Amino acid sequence: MSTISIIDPVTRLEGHLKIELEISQNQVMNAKVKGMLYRGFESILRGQAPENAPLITQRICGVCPVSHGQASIQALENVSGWIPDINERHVRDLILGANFIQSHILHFYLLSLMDFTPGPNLSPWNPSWDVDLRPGLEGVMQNLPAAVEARRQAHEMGAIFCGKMPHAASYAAGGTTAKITSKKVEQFKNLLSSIIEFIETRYIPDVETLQAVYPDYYQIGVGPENLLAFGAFHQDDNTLLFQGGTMQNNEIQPLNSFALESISEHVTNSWYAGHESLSPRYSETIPEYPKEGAYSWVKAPRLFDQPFELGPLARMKINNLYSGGISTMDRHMARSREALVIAKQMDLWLENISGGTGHDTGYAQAAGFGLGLTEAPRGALGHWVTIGEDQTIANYQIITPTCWNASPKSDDSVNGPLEQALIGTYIEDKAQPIEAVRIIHSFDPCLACAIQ
Amino acid sequence: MTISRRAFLKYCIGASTLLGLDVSVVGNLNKLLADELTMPNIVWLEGAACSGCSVSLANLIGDETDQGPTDLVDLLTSYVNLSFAKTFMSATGDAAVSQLKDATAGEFILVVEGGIPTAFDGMACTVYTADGQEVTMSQAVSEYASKASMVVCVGTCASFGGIPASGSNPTGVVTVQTLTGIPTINLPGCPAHPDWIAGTLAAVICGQTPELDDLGRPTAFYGKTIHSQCPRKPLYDQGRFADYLGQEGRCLFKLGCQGPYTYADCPTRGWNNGHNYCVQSNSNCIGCVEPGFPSPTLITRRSHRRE
Repeated sequence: MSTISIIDPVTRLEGHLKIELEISQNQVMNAKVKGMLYRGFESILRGQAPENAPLITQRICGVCPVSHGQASIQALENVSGWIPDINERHVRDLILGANFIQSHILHFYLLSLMDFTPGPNLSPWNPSWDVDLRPGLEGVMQNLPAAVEARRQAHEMGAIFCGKMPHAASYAAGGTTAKITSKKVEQFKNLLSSIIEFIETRYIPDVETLQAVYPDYYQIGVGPENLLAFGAFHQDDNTLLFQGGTMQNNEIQPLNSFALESISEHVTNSWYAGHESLSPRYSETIPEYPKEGAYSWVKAPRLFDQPFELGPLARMKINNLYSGGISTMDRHMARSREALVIAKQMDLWLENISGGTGHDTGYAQAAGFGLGLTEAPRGALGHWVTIGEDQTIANYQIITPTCWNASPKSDDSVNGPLEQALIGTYIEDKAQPIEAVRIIHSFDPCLACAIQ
Repeated sequence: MTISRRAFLKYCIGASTLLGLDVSVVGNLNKLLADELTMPNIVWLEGAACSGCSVSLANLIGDETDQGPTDLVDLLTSYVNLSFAKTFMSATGDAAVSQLKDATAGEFILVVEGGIPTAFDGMACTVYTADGQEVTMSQAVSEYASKASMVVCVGTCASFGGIPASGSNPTGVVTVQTLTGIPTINLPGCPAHPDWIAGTLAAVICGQTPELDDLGRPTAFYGKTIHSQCPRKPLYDQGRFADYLGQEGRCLFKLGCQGPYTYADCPTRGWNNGHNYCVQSNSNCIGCVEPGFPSPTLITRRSHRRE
């Protein structure tokens, strides 16, 4: 006979996540991933001045606001057919990179580590579950203060060019408002070099230690094995540091317009009106609660009507920068290595930027449809915007990485990626399903983004 | 959590200094204190929020005077008893709910981040499941605000509704005060500055009530307009206004800067360890600490275009 195990709230992640596990003979037979906060950003954006969008959409999420700012200005610029010069793009990417790094460090040390080893012996880390906590990670926990410092420094680094973090001030379609001076570049470089040292001497070795103590997690929490990235971080030669693409059956395909047109949002199992899956270019977000059969505020985006996993592991594998597999532990490994790839690239961009930003670029906002694709720390992010002739936002649709990863079942009842990763997992103690929580955290879910 | 008397005094003095309170009041506490104190529990509930204020708190950095916590870890290990905080706590699921129940059985301070949705019977935001029932943010705040010794609203969403309550307010977001009638200390900001949060919590833990303006904001942090403290104020006085965003050495007033109508100490305090703040990055103040945030037009001309 099966029992239902509920984890609510799932703590140490952004937002409101509830998990229902159907467990039979210590095995997860079914899983429901439920997003529990709806705010309605997409309807709030309708009728607004386009210039507001980069500032409003950043406030979707306090952990990855910069990615929303980036997607939003790219979408607005796409409407106008505008491509900013490489200098402006480097400045934006330096801010974006700073936020990736703070998010990755935050995720490992403050959100995930306590699943594997006890935190300091006082609140908010104690009491906690006491199950399968293996010795060998005491030294890793000792790095918590250094990690908090490095994360803070990453935010400070970004703020040098964007005013403040979280919720950057300097995101404007057409360019970026910050003036780049040699003093700011030097301040940025100094912070970056100590952060690179932290990543090389602590973060990456600490994740290595984790995988040595918990090697079984290379077999746990696999998921659908479909990977998707939109790509981000502009290089001097007009390529991207992380190219967009898909990976299925170990085969990598570049992201093309056909694939982008094949993205649709399923809402049969979500608390929104309708049952028809639509492209985000045409879909609307109309809440309907209660709704027969629905169980989450998260929609179910699908590519070619299939679920895809997004995140650092997808980016790193699609770009042949990570050779491991797909699992709970591979997600941690890829994330830590990605932090170093980005940080080192940022050091190169700093060499190349000059004082050219903050100038009058001549940008004018056109009306029409635009698409902004980028990456957030936890995976690919897209903003689809339509600006009316009256120069207000006619429609705005956002699909975030956690929307894919933490999605409910699709119209044809196929489970979302996190649900698939949970199903089949062996649970030692039904009252303390730590295996499930470790799998959930490996995706670095952000529910404020998933639903908005 | 127990804390040494010395640390507690240091903390109170730090808080008092930050808030401009009379330090001698703290000195009197000295006589009353035992060698060890049990700190009150802090229960941090998140509603219609983005966790940006929690993340902002993680940017806390002590100043050179070495009074008060030096950073987030120091704050959590030596100063506050953060018993329930979804973003940071180790306990999860039922264990987290038990911790909430335990923490609220005695004296506690309630911190609210985010607005409180009331549409769909509050089901646009549930915060935990207890005894098989989903508990909405609205129910949780109704239950705990009246029991708390003090309610502190962190961020503009909790204080005034913020972005989730803007436009058509799709989920019927209200504030603690609207929902319960209980007065709150409000620390608006999108996000709130870590000093505003830590300084106010310090004062409240020490039993002091900071002086508040008529919107419930501590005047030590929200007492003057951005404009009156702005390094570009002389440019305003000289009539040297920016034509487009990003123009250096000009006042941003004519681009829609909300500095004259916005009360906060950003220009003097600075953000992210004093590295910067919005106007210093050539972006106008968008008035994020005010009840009217977000205004329909955050900037009158966001593009770089000249007319």
